[in-house]
Amino acid sequence: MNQVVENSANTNSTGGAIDNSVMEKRPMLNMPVIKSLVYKDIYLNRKLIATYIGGAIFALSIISLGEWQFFMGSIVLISMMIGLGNHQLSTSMISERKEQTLVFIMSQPVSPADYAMAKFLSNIAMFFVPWSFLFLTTIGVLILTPLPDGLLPFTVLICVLILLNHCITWSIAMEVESEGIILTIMIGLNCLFNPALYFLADSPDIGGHTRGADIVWNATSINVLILEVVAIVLLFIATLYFQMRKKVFI
Amino acid sequence: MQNAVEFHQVCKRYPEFYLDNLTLQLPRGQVMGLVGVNGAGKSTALRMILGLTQPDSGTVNVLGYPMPQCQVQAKENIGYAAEDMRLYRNENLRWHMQFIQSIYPSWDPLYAEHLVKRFDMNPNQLTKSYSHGQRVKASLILLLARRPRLVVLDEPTTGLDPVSRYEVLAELAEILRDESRSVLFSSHSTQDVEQLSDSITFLHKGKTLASQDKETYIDSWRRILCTGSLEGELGLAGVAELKSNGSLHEIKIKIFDASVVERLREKGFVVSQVERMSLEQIFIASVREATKS
Repeated sequence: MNQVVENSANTNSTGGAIDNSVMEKRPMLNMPVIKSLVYKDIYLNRKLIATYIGGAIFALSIISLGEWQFFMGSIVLISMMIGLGNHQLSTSMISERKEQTLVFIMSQPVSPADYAMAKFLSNIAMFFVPWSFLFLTTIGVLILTPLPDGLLPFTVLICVLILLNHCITWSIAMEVESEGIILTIMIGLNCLFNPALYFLADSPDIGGHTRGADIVWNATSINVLILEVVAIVLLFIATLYFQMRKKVFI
Repeated sequence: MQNAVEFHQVCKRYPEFYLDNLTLQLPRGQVMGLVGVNGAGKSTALRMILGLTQPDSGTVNVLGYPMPQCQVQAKENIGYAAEDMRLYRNENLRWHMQFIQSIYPSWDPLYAEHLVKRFDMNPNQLTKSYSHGQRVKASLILLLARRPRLVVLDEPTTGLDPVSRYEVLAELAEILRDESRSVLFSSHSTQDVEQLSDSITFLHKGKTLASQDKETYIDSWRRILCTGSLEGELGLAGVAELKSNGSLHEIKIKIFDASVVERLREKGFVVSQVERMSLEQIFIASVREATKS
């Protein structure tokens, strides 16, 4: 990523030659500035991230206390995970355009590729890291409390589905500037989340084992998991590929 | 002299706007004012300097770098502030100063503090409570304290109260003492441009009406009042505007020399007044001429 490459753009927009003496060998990405942009995003979203993590920990702390606490805790946990993703996208990407702070960032020594990489890394730091923490904590709660261990595959699939939904929204937010479109996608994915929960719970191979004491990973649950993970990886690769090919911001 | 900014036959088409063959040069160490009404193409041109927009044809070179290919290298030495640019509303100026300092090794903390005092700014105040004037000053602090070689300002004085405008212009005049620094700024205000710039470029609906040294340009224009009978063509080159009220005629001419008055007299006109024009009068005459043609 930080390899030194010769700038490939050695012709201008009209096809004329460009003085190669100014085409210095430079890193393909301006990593020091990318690092500053990532720190900036984390700093600006720190309270929001802490609030959602706090809410999710509260949910996990009550989830094993009884039946109604389980349903309430599950809903709060899912809401906190989805809310964390959507809220930080809203503040770090939509607001940056809406409140015209993007011009301030674009005027710094960054290329569209640097900006895309900064947003990718910010997303990793602000969603993937908290998500991973909450995911592992949830698994720990399932294993260490009287909750049936059979819930684990179903829980993993739901958590990864939330991650996939977030990745879809992130990819679209990177590509389109319209706040309306991004909000529509967020609402649409939330609406589709409940049917997905229903189908997973209704599947005998996945939902059928949730009350059991054994963790059952069968072909169906593994295939769904693989599908979710592959979709996430493809979304990241495609988004970064297209964003990093952009030569100009506007 | 090397140029800080060079546009060569730059075209850019949008659905409602066409930037038509813009060619201009800003020599290093000089100040250029870009003047035009809304929709003239000023912001488009400035965005091309930052490499934010790619021309459809033509070339843009900034500080020796072709844009937008080398936008990162160029932007390391460009300070940009725009009327529509905002800072992070829930953070204060101090935080923004630290953020910029983390990006630019050239950041001068002493100069930054000097500017904070000079502009009478509270660096611990959240930027969301800043007035428009304070926002402009904060942006100027952030860009000037890293001592860029090229300063690009999009409408820096628009909407400022007289005191803020004076302070901003005074600081701009101050930075112009550094002869290696170039400044390109757009403005509706011909007064600001007349006060600060060495050269001017007039844009109107994407076309360049003029781009040259300010003194020479202003000196080439005259407003002439004369009386006489006007039958047919006036027969003078470079007449931008001719208004007649009976036998009284007002001529605004863009290629003036002593022979113009002689020729008017030869045609039987009595020349009562020949006066220099302000940049604002010249700009209005240029735009009206362009609109007519």
